[in-house]
Amino acid sequence: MPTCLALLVFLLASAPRASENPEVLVQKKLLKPLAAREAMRSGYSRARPPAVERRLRVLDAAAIADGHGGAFVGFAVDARYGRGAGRWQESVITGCVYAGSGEVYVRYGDAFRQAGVLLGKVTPPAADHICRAVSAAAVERYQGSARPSLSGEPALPER
Amino acid sequence: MRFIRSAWLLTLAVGSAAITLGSLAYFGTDLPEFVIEKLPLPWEHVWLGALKLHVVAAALALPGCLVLVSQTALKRLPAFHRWAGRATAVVVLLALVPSGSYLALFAKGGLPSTVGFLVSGAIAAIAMVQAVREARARHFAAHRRFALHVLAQLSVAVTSRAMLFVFDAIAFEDEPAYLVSLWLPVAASALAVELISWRNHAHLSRSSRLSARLRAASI
Repeated sequence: MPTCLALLVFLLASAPRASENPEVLVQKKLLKPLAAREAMRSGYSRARPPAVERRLRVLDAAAIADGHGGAFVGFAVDARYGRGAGRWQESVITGCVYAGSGEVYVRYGDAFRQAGVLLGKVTPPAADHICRAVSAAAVERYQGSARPSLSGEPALPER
Repeated sequence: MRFIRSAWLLTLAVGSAAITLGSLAYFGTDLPEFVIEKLPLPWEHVWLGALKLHVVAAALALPGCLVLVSQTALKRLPAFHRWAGRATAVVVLLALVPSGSYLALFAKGGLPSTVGFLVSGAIAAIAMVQAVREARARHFAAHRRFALHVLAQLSVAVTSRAMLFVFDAIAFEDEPAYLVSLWLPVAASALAVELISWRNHAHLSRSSRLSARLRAASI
């Protein structure tokens, strides 16, 4: 019995909490690991210098439905480069968060991929419905028991 | 002058070691920043293969050139100089320049950046071929001039990264900084070698004229 309880506590603790705050998710799954990774790397490189500071903007006040019934909010990250006051660049990273599943996606090339791609993980492009708002027409079709279109409208600006 | 030369060669050796150390990340499981910001690309595996080849070739070629300009090694171990020269020429002509030229097609900064890398590669390749030809013809002054051009273009890897570091510190725009950090070292290195060669040639001409006069006076 104590073993079962311990297992239950472990499972509850390790499972993604339902509807975690999107900002917390982006910080935890993308920005903090990214800052930690950049702190380790050498500045003597042809790669773009690491950002000194980043600020997160959540773009949607309410969650948006995608073509598969998931709900996401879009976000953009601005970054400051250079010493001193430096210079801010807007929307250097854009993406979306699924608060329900705890998944964070970023725009990478023409597609969205899991946030791990910016942390050096080899990540395939996400399914077409990810981070794409389902169109009004598709909602109507869906409500009329038709399957919603997978080619939704992009909800986020180009990077 | 000798102190400046030694300090410059030491700087290049340290820079080359730093680049090699930083490049080890290209062979790990996680992709490094330079690759993350480049991808996705068409024929990704070709680009990644070219990058790895370029990294290995650069790790051999620049230290190789630094060993080759050593006067001590040349005087004490001429056979080693010849073989090291041949090996460096093979690495530069068959690996470094071809892989670098392919990577140049996707360079950050667009066409001006692509042209900059291709010009640098062309100077290095042509100068290397000429350096080998002049060495075989035993025209050592010309051989030295062309070999210095190869070293100068390879040194762009070190100087341009140093410039990028400084530009980042002063919060200079990313893309113009990249272009200036490429074109300025490429052009300045080529010019510096021509100036050094011209100065050495003038010095040698003066010395030979002087010795001819001394010989004539003694007769």
